[in-house]
Amino acid sequence: MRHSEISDRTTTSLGGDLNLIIQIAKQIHRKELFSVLVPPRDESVIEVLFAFGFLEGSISETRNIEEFHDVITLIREWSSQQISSINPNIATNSSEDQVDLITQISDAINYEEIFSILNHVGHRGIAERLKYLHAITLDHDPEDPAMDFQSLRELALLFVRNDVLLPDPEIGISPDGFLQVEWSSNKASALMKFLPDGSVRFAGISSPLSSNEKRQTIQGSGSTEFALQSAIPFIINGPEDGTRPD
Amino acid sequence: MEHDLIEDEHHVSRYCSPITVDRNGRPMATAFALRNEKESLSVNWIEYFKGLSTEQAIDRIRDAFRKKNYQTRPNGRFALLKVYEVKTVISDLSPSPFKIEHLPEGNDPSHSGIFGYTASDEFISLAIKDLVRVEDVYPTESPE
Repeated sequence: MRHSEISDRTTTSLGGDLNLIIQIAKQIHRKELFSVLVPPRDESVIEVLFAFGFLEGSISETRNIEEFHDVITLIREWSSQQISSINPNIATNSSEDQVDLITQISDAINYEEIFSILNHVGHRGIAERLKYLHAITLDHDPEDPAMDFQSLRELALLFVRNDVLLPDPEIGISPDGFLQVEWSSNKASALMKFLPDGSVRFAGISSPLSSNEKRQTIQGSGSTEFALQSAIPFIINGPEDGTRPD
Repeated sequence: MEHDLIEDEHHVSRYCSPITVDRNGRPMATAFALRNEKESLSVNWIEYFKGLSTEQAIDRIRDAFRKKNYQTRPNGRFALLKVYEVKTVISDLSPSPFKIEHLPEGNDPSHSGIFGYTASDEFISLAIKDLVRVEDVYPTESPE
């Protein structure tokens, strides 16, 4: 299920070659201040394209992101290859395989199917944790909510994506039965809660560097993409990388 | 007495069920999240048990949970919180007034509630979780 290689001869409508695209991709990842790989924000692409001199005028001008479609596609493919090299246990899939996985998860009718898919694509730790949580909730403790199946589906859809490499989170269940993933470091903490309607609640908070420093916080809800992009500065990169949320 | 406000230098404990405890036995933020319909987070007031150590007070709280038929699980935990630290976090992050109020229940005389945030203040539950140090985590079963 390896991703097809990007050719050195790949060009874009902007006239850039692969090396240039990779330079842009690295710049975007650096700009967003995280080493985990997620699709770049549209705004970041535009800002970096400005920095590389592809665009002129005011950065605040409204631009149609469709203009940069092939650049973004190449950056996503580059990210997938990076994911594969960083963690070979995580399978990177062709677009067809990816669609298959998404279809399988969307069509799954029981919890075990989804645990099995996560396990199959290399997320053994996540699958095991979810199995454990599910087993606990089957005890029908009146104080503990059951694990919401649609919430599980939404969580799985995030972790089988090709273009996202996140540190394995801690996973728990919220008081309303929805799966909640959490990350913590000595710099920040973040969480994402998967709601059955496909939206995600997210929150992040920085650790105070001193007693006088105001902590940076964020919370809200939206699509998985929006939640991820919002929470990512608070998701750990490790304490030594100098990352601070904006 | 009922509705007494708990002093800053006192402590409260929060029972964290196994679905809110991470793989290392540490309470997660979801352990401190409010249910939608609730105004306060249920905790127990440690200094209510005058003259007892924290370990002994938590043992009394375990007894109280048994008496009110609240099933604690072996993989659950009790998290100890300093009132002053919780107050600082909530006062800094929430516009709602903070208080921890003594709300005794029939078989649970130290029962109390943390007020000042809502079910949708997830970043506050994250901040409270960050207050819990390894040494502040107690098992649900009394160590013999």
